[in-house]
Amino acid sequence: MTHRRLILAWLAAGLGGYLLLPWYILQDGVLGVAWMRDWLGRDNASAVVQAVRHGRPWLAPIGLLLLAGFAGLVRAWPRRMRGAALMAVGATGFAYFLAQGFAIGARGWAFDVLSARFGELATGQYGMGIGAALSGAAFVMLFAIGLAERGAFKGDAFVAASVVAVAVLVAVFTFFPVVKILISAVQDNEGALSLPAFTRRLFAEKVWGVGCLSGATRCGVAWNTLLLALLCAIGSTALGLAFALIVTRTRFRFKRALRVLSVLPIITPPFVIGLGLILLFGRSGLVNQLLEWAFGIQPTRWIYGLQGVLVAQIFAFTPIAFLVLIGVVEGVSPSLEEAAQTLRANRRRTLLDVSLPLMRPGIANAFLITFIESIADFGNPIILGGNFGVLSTEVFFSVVGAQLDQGRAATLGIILLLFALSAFYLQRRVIGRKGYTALSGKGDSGLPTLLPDGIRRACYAVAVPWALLTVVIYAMALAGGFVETWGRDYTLTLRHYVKAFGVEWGPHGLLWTGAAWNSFWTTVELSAIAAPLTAALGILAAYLLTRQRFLGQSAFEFGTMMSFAIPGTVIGVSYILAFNVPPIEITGTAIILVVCNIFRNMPVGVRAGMASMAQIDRSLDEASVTLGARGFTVLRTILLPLLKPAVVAALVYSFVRAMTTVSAVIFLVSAQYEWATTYIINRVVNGDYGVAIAYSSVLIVMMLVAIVIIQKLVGQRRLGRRAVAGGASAGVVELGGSAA
Amino acid sequence: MARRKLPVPKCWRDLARPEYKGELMLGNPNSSGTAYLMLATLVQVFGEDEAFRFLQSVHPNVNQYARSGIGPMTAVTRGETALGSTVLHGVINEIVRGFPVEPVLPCEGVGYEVGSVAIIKGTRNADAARRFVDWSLSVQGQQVGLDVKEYAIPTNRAVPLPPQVPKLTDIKVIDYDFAKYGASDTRKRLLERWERDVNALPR
Repeated sequence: MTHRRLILAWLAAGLGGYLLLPWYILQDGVLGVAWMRDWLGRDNASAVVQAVRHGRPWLAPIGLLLLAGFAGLVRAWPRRMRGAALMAVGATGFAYFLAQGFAIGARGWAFDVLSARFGELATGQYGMGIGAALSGAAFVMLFAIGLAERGAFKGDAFVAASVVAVAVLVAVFTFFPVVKILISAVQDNEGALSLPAFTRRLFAEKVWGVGCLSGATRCGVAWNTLLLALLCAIGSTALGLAFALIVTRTRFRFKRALRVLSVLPIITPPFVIGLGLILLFGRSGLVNQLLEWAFGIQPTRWIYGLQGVLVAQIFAFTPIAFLVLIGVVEGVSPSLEEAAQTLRANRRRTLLDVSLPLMRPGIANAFLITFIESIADFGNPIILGGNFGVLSTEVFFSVVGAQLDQGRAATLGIILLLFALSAFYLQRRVIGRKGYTALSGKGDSGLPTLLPDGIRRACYAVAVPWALLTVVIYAMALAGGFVETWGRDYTLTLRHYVKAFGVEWGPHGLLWTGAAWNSFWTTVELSAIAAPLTAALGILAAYLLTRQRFLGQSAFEFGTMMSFAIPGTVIGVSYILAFNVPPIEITGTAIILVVCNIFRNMPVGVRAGMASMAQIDRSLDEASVTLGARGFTVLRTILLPLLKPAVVAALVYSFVRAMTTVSAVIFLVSAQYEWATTYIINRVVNGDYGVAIAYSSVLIVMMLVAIVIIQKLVGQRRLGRRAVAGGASAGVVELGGSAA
Repeated sequence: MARRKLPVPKCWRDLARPEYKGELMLGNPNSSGTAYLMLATLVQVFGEDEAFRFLQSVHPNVNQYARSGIGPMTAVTRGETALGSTVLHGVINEIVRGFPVEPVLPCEGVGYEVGSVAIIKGTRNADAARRFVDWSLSVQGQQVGLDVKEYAIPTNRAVPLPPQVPKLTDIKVIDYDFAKYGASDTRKRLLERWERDVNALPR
């Protein structure tokens, strides 16, 4: 099979981008029609017009290289030769495309060496736009098709294109910014390379000091970070497992309530939990006031420090552990448990020797994810940390504060990255090479075994108080939206809601007079754009990682997972460093917010997809391949329907994470595109708690609605399992909504 | 303050009094420009060595060095601390919102800073940028801050001042040396010394 039509389509796209569309990014966006009125002008013209009319001849070779791509269609040549031609054209084209982009910036040559060698250029160029994006993509795709033509990836163009496309995207939007910021780690603050500066920062007392063990005030921030992450990961994973077991393996009456509760912290803007904790346990909080009133105990500030951050993080990350674990706990095949019981194992033994070992990948994943979440967390340490510093906040203050020490930020970022990668490596070792397939093509009908009594009570004892405390904290935080001024005047009022979300009926229709509408619509719109792209990219990468074998696969996995390990503050700064100047000049646009969210949240989609695919037996895809299906068909018709819980999880998670993110977007928002969370943070900083809390409440409610909608749209995975004995609800219903 | 029966301080020196133990929140000059402004002010008021001796004597009273300049202010309004150091208009903003807080301008003298606006060299929209800067320096532009209840003192003297804004003539303002204390080597040296001589001490 050849790929003539595919090649033609990409050549057409590339040439269309080169000949017709604006090559450079337009200041007012390409979606309007304003640029068409002056479509030959300096700003708006396509590449061919730029090369001929506007003194930018360096764009001409790109068109010639695109034309050379037609060599891939020469029928007289053998297939391997056409493939080689396509690869050569694709590689050369893309290399030249990048080279001209980096070499020529807004004010002519970007490097002094070049201007010294070739003389000053009369004109520079702006950031790349839609035309450039299409041409660049065409080169990349021609290269990928060439690979497939030469027999790589079993000659499957879909797989080849997916691998190459994901790799290029990750390289541009994850590696490139990171490299940019790492370079600044080995530079002194004037920009010259300096190794001593790097080592001095790397081994600084503030980072690695162990003074606290011997009575001094503080330990280094690196130790703080590790200790916090370890405690948080243990706590969150244990709680998450308790919840998952209660939901799947008991007759607990309030399962639905538990599910909703466990979702709440995820859909909460990060500082709301911190705020609730302060209102409850802070110095003027209810608990302290009560203690002082009843027993005359002086209020203390214990909440500010390791304890407070840890409590807040466990509240925040237990649901993530739960989401990771629930899919795996559900996926453990009941027939294996029934087999164990047939062999006279009691319920306790079945759980400990059969079910739990099968859940090991899930538990390790949950631990890894919460560990990394903790070290990358920014919102909780910044609100509750007090004098307790961790790496992510130190990174932020190194760049943003009065220090303005980019090198220090980058160095701390490297240390953070090393921690995260070590966690990643350890997790791989724990899972090892054993298989955990539990969902096979053979009929599988059984019921999950109920938990043994002792363990069930232990789960209840941990999970129920936690759930109640969650309710109290939310009640505290949300009540603040309805009182005049928290801490002083507790008169009930709707003033804050009107201020944020007021609507009036004007002469020209509805008027959105509330102060929050602008950031609200921006956030919803951009998150809704980012979520499906994130989920698609994540599941696609998971498919390539679990179901295909290709050269450089472990590097590919590292690349897709890497952005998860980079704390948002580092991403934010590196995005500014990388994307503020041509060739990619997207700071201040909506694009950078969408892109940032996609690549930050993609790893969760990858993880969810991989964990679920590990449970789906390969014999299913093999059967499909035997019947003549190719990569795309297998993915679409066999895997995706079975992956629905993972798809829902990825969609929900990426949407919600995008809506609630702070650490990275706080660097990337602009006056035109403001994010809900950064708007709220600004209200908090200004002491305007009423509006902040009212806004947060609206966000929480809105995301609950969104989750329900996403679930209804995607639907549920239907596995043929028997109905619960004696219960009215069918097994399918119990299985459904697993990601909620 | 009233509940703990504490006297209101009048001068920088008062902050070192033992009855304020655990009741004072300052900013961390490593992360907060406001806190650095305070550090530089103290150095100019007392002289460098004396300023650091003073900060060391205050250190036991400090419950936290907040990350942001406004941090001590919000902590005071929430009742998380009794005393805090911040910029004057931050306090006025809170008073206007109805919080029972009160500014104290230390008797030894206070520093100040001037907000700034700049145009990036080589911008694509130089004309629009210039028009924006002109507007932001005009009476009309500077009125906007006051209209949204931000009571920093406008630099354009023609702006009519509402009663909430204090008159600069009533305040003992020091002759702040922007060239010296804005320079990065002075800043770096002071910050390192603060970290070593003040922040590292046990409380």
